[in-house]
Amino acid sequence: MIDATTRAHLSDDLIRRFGASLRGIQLYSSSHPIVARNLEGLAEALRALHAHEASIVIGIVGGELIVCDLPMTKASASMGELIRRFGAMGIERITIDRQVALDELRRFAGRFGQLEKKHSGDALKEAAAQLDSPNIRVGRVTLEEQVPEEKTDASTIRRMYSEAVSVASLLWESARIDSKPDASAAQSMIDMLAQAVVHNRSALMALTALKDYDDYTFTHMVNVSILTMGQARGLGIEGPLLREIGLAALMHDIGKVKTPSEILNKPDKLTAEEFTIMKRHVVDGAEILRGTPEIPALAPIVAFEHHLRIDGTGYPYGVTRPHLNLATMLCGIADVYDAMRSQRKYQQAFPSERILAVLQLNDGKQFDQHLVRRFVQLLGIYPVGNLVRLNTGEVAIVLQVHAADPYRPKVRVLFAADGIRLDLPRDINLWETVQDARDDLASTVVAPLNPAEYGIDPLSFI
Amino acid sequence: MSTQEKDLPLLDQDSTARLTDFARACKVAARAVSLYPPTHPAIRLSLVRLVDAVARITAKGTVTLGVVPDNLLMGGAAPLRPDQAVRETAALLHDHMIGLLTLHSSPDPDGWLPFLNILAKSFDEVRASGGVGRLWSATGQRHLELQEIDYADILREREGIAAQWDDIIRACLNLDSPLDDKSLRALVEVCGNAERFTEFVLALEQSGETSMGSKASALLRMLRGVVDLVSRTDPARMESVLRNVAEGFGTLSPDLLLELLATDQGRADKAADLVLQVASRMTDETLAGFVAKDVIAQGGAVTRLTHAFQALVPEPDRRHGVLEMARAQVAESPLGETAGFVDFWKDTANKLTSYSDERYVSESYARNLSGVRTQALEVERVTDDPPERIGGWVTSVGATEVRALELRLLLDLLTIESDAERWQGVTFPVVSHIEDLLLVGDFDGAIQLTTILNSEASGEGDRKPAAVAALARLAEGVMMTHVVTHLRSVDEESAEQLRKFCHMVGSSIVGGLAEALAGEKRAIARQRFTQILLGFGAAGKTAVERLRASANPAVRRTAIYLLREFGGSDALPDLTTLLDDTEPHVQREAVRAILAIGTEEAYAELQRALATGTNQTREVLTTALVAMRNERAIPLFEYIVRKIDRKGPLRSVYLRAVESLGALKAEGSVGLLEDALYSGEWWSPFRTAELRRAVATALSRIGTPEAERVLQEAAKSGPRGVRAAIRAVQS
Repeated sequence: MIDATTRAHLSDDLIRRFGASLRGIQLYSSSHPIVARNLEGLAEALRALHAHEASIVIGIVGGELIVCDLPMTKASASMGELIRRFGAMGIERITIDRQVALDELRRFAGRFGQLEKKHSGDALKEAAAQLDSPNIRVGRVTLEEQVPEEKTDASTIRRMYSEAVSVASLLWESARIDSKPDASAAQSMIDMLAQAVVHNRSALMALTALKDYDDYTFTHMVNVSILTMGQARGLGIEGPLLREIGLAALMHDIGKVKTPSEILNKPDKLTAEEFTIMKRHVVDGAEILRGTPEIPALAPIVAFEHHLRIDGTGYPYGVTRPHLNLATMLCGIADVYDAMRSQRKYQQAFPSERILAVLQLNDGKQFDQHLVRRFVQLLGIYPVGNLVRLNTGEVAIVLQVHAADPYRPKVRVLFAADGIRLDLPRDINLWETVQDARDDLASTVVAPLNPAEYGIDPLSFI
Repeated sequence: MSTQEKDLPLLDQDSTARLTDFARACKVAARAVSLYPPTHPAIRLSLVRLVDAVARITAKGTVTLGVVPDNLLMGGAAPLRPDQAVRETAALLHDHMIGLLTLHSSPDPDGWLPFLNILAKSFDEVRASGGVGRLWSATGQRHLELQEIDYADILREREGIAAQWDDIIRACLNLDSPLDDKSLRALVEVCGNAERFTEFVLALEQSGETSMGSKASALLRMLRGVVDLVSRTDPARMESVLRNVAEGFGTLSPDLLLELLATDQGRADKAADLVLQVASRMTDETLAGFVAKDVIAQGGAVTRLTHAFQALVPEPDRRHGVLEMARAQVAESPLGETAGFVDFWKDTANKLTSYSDERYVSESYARNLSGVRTQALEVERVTDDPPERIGGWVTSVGATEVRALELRLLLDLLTIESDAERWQGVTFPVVSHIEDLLLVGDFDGAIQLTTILNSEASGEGDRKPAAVAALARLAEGVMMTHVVTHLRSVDEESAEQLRKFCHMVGSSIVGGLAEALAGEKRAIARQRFTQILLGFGAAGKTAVERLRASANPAVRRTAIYLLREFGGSDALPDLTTLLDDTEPHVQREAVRAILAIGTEEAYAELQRALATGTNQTREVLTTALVAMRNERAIPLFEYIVRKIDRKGPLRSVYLRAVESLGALKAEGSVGLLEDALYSGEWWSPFRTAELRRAVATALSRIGTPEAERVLQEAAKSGPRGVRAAIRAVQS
């Protein structure tokens, strides 16, 4: 018979090993030696307890971990993260039988990590059923049957975008006042946007062209997030990773809350000294985000690195990375693009060619040109929803980007060259007209225009 | 749920979950096999998952899955809920012409590789290799049975029922496989009924994933086959068949119709003639319907419609009549109710009749909408990034890489943050991160961060206070728990890293280590804790001083243990004070420690404690001494015999020391015992006799020749009292 002290000691050890194993699988690839070592430790801890109990039941009750009816208060205090993760999966108890082998533990931990990477919310709870294996049984909170989500329509997306900009302003304020942006508000907003990016990416991305110029700071946050998620989604990324990347992009400039407003909003060119202060925002952003609980690890990394370029240029000075990670690169592209195409009080929007030239700067060594190409293909030089002037003087709305030639989208002509609105708008495929070498037809976009000046809502055409 | 399965029975929750699980696993595994090189760990992982899923789905025996284009059926029942993975897996299997899939049991993961390799091939490759059935048979695997889709069978089965157009179309699209007579007869039946042919055409138009050219080829091939068969078997029926087909042509989109006409161009065979023959049988009503349908759908005349209209109705006079009929149909639609319809129609008719490669080249609004929604997919389709490149990008935000970047970020922040106050702010996440790294056993990372804190704490810069505070927070947090857990089990290399880490954190962890050491049972762990503590040198001893003064007896015992481990006479004063401890356990530990020192000075301290202590202390110390009957204690027992006043209250201690020397067979103590044997006081005969008996007993237990010699000599020529003692022992 095992004495109480020994049992408590073994149980405590088991919980710590369990926590370390699942934390390891969350942080490292399943083949990483650290993961293997932790799992071996877990197997050893289980063996020690299994010598006395045929089955070990780990329960989660009101924020406490219970091992075979013994509350592990001390362990619970340091295993808050583990309890939170169990909670996220709806796990109430885990029963591990004596016959469990290291391989089965490895599979369990691997699957645990995979499910967390792929799912979230109720989907994660539902997916937790997959954790069951012959000698490891997971008791879960059962879920009601989920009603399939409806596809988001244009008005929903428009409302969503507007809410996102509002939330961005709240995040900005909370970061400015408390140095801690409201992580849960940010998460909820990103969940919403990520879902829209998955279901109706183009329409959402088109919305980024419709910014309210008075709210540049907040619309820029939201736009960069959408444009970054759009690119990530195009690479097949989905689930929690997509949301992490989106959140990171949303927060990429949060360090600017510490930049003096006279510098942040200065209409003229910054002096060298002012520019030095401005550049601090990457460090400030990383510090703010790294010090905010519940913000995923990628966010401070992207905030810190988003002005670094793959050829080693950029800032913060003295910081080098042998390779930039994908989230940083995607966010960097979206950031430059959105900043340049935005019209602000003191800055006219740059023509798309100019933006592309910046993205191809230094012989294309600053940005990964494969990603730039994908971005241009995805968005077009003139993205869907853009109001543009054609070479004929007509004003049209971009309807569809032709991936093979992003310079020549399909447009719907709304205003004639003399400025009169057409009763019956007509569509033109610019890539077709240029192929037919028609001089009398519009074949090129000359410049983007502000839809507000024409009193139209581009979204209603998409 | 697809429309086809509307009336099917539904699986229960559990079966749905198992089927979905299998579908997901199958999809992931197929994707992994197609994307990664054979040795990639992702493949192994996905195979294991697939095997698990198959084990679950076949838990009650063999399972046969029916494959329809967008769903998997189990026992003829459809899943309870639609699921993307089920849809995609069904599409994948269906695309490979798999109609039924029977799972027998769960083999080892490698058994699934041949099947997944087949799925990784394109349909063309599979077909070129003789079809999926043949490829699978060649693998020799038995855990899986597949039944290939036979469209002739399908047509036969579905004769008289609403046909599954997508299957028929697929059969038509399969240009390498001739349509057999039975299939053709079924198609003739379709063409014999205008309504059914129209349905077929609509289905063909709506079938995704196929280019317009392929659709046109499929339609043409079908028509050729039907016409050939009818001309051979029932020529009288030819005209009605062609008219039905012509009527169906009216429901085609301008795109498909133009594609048919383009296919026709440049060909001199019967096929070219066939399209024209059909087109020539399109009535004005059909043509008007064709135009009206498209104008209503597109909100006007688009280029493709104009091209098609002009090709189908080359005669200007006839165009006017057809357009009039079309106008009447459009006028009855909502478009006809809009203001300016008259002008609109005028413009439309003008375009349709006078267009010649001019202004308006556009698609429909509806298609715009769908185009926008599918735009991203198109982008993915045109990209030429190889899977390896995409894999590399995605890997760069994988868990391990992000972990490394997180560490790099903190190291950078600690290095480049120049403001002392903000630097202090950075130390908070740094400390948390170190704790996290220790939890999972990433000692390298923990050491890198701690090195910077240690360096700043050792310096004199303005970061020093923050660094010192950070290290103190680290020492007070959960770090020590993690260190202790690891020290119990890690290999020597990792233990060395932990030792290095602990020393960088600083002496504030000595207390925690000492606590852990006190409760540790495993020798290897005790040794590691001790090594770390010893590495702290003077700082370690300072910590021991604190422990020694603790109100907790267990902690005081730990202090003694450490004093023992530190060793040397320097520890003696501390140990000496603990000999007077109120707790017997502590006193016993102190005795052990003093014994470990083993010097005369140490024994003198023990004697002092024995001489000056209370009765309880004396009893405890004596008991402790006797309990430690090992050779290391012999000098102390000798010391007691030599130095202790055996007449006073320590007589019992003396007796136990003598007894212990005997029990330990202390050969070197024979001379001392011989002296003791002859010692005695005449005025205290009983006490002297008791002591001599004890000494004689001890010598007898030692039993060496020298001890025997002493006893014999004493028995023979010793004083009376000595002889009596010897006799008493020998008897």
